[in-house]
This record gives sequence, structure tokens and C-alpha cells, in this order.
Amino acid sequence: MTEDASKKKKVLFVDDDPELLELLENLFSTWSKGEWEVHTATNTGKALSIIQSHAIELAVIDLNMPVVDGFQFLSLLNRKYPNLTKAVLTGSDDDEYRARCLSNGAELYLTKPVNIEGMELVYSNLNELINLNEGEGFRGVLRKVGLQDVIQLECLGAKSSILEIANRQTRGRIYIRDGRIIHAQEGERSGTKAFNRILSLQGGDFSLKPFVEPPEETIADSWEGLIMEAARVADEGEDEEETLVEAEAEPAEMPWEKDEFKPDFSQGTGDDALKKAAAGFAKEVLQPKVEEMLVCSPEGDVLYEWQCADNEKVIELMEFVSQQSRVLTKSMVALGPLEHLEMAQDDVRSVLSIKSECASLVRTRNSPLRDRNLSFS
Amino acid sequence: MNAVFNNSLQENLNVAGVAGGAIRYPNKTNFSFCRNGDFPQPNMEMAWRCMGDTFQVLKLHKKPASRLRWKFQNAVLHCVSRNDGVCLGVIITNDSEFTETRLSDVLREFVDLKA
Repeated sequence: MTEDASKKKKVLFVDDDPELLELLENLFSTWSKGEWEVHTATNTGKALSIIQSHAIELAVIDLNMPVVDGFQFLSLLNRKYPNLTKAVLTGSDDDEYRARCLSNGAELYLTKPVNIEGMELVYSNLNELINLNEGEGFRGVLRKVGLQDVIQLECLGAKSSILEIANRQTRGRIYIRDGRIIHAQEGERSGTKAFNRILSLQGGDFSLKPFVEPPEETIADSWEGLIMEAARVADEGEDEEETLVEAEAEPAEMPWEKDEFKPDFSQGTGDDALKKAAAGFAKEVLQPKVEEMLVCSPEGDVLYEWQCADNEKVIELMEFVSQQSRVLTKSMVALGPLEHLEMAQDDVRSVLSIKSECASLVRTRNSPLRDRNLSFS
Repeated sequence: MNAVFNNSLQENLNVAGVAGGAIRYPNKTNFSFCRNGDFPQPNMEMAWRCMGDTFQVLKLHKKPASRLRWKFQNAVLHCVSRNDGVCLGVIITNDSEFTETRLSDVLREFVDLKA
């Protein structure tokens, strides 16, 4: 590769319409005056192969594609390649689609243009995005890649590899040849039992090793079926594990649960005592009550959680905010780094903070307001 | 409808102490101004897009918000969304004399504006 070639921005377009891909490749290569190296893929398998072999910087994905649609593919890319810049170019101008894509790692949601002016606009937006994203960023650090994601990506990319898994209790191996799972070994178990056991592990490390032939071939099912079956088996065994976890981990007493915060009736039952109790109650309802809290590490591991209905959704939200703040601070340096984001709706208020050591979200509910107050202070 | 919001923005916020502001409409168009060279107009467009996207993403995550406050080290991006989807964004630097109380009044007025 020449020096000039290595400086080119490597952009990949994924769309099942080959004519559109040809048009995009021709136009954008010309408009970029050779600064872009445009790659195209008509399916996600080919796209993965290109991403792995060409150090792609920006992937532009269509949503409506057969087999693996754009949402699934975006989600996979977000886990496997969190540092890859992603954008969506679709025919659907739908607000819900847009929000789903943005919260799954897309930085731009563009609708397919119907004329050349629109195409120029798409090009300038993508060019702006790729230039903005040069250099470092917090993005991608807040996401933990799951074992299942890695298996899916290896199989989708028709790869051959060995996935080695280890934790304090056990070690295991999953053999993947040309995108097919052919053998799994865990302790004394082998075949689908070993595969299911490995995928049910709650923690541990895993690494991809070069493929070597296994001692035997014990699995012939499709990888999609295996993953679904493993999820079903894990779900069935989940209740038992959750009960164990709950029994072992007593939730810490919260400050507002301590006796000193409760109304004191010990001083008698007369009017004074009732007034004191009422005053205590009135004071208490005027204070915000914490309804939800989540603290996670930069890798996306939950460090503390309290009444959080969906950890994964909150972590997605943290990623989105992290991504947005990075774009804002990069385009407007005078802002300085983000300290926190406050969100309010009626009497509910949330504070989301992203620091280098952890990210947190705290949601509180205030007492009913007498009149509408839009102030945070 | 747009003229009501645009005029309100010009009259109430295009004043000393406010770095920039915008009305963002549900069709993703903006009416904006910029008064501070540290925040160039083209780059400020990022802020208005971010404002609209954040309201949408929060709604999708079942954490709807009508008010956002992005607190940066040197400035605050205040955002408020009306029920009809029209949003107002304002950037105020920390050294500004434009007080939060005054801003709160402007935001309340924006929410109550009859379109």
C-alpha cells in the first residue's frame, strides 16, 4: 500500500441495491477528489469481511436488507467494532427508526436522496462526520462485547477460529469452521451440552485463537439454532441462579431507609406528637425520592444497580449521551468537557454523568409542584 | 406558526449574554442565531441536531423528558420541548449575566406560546 492510499478515508456502503452502490461509489469517489476509498457490500456477510480486512473508518448501512436487517447489523457492529463510525442511509424517514438507530451507535440517520442535490448533501454530511471523528474519543469504551456477539460475527463472516473461554470454575472451547460451529468442549461435556453450558456462564474471559481441527466433530446444527437453544436453556436455569444471587446479596440500606429519617412517634400520642409527625412527613414528601440508579464501569459492567428496570437500555442511553457529548465538544471546543446531563419531565428528574472511571444515572421523583416550574435549581 | 416561535426567539434570547439559540421544528429544520465567535454557526447546528435526537432517544427508552440541561465545563446547553414537538435550545456561557431565573421565564413562555 502506498503512503497516499493509507491516508485515504475508508468508507463502506452496505445496501442490497447494487445499482445504488455503484452510483454512490462513482459519485463519492469523484467528489472526494480521491480522499475517500469507497467500498461496497450487498450483504452483511460481505460487509463484515471488508470491515475486517480494510480497516474501514465509516460504515453507511441501509436498514431494509434481507436475512440480517440494518438494525441487527448496526447492533452487531456497535458491539464488535465500537470505534467504527456508523451512519444509516435509508428510504424510511421514521422518527422511531431514527431514534433506534441513534441509540444503537449510528451517528447520523440520513434518508436516501431523490436527486443529485440530495446526494451532495449526503456526501457533505458523511464527509463532515468522518472528519469530525478523527482522533480519540470516549465512544466504544462503554460497551462490553458479549460471547454470543462474537460467535454471531464469526459465523456471519464465515470465519474459522477457536473461541476459548475461561473463568474460575471452568474452561471451554468452541470450534468454528467456515462459519459453522462443529465442536464444543467444556470440562467433561462435549457437543451441544458443552455449547449450552459455555453460553450460560455468567462471567469470564474469552479469546479467539487460530483454527485447528478438533479431536472430533460433535455438532451439526446451524449456529442460529444453537444460539437460540442455548438462550432457551439459560432462561430455564436463570430463576435458580437469580434466587441464589438475591439470597447472597442483601441490598444495602439506603440513607432514607434509616430510622433517623422516619417520623418519631415515641414522644407521646397527643396533638404535639401528631403535629411533629405530620411536620416530619411534610418535610419528607418535599424531598426528592430516588427511584432508579445505575452505575457502570467504562466497559459497561454494572457496578451498582437499584430498581433499574432495564440495565441494557440505560447503558445504551449512556453510550448515546457519551457519543453526543463527544461530537459537541469536538465541534465546539469552547464548551469544555461534559459534566453531566440533566433531564426533567413533570416531577421526575434524572442526572446522567459520564466520567473516565464510571458512568451513572440517578432518577428521582420530586413532590408534586404547586405550579409549573421549569427551573432545575 | 413558525413566525410566532421565531419572533419569540429573536425578542427574548438574541440578546447579550446568550451565545446562541435555535428553534428546532419537527421537520428537523432550525431557525437559529449565533452571537459568540467561540461557537460558530455551522458547528452550533450540531447542538440543535443533538437536542432533537436526544429528546427522541429518551422517548424511545421510555424516559421522556421535556427539559434537558447539558452542563459543560464552560457553558450550558438548555433545551426544552413542547407537546407539539417544537424545541428550543439555548447556549449560555458560565460568565454570562443572563441568569437562570430569567432563562426559566423565557422557557416557560416558550412552552405556553399559542402557535
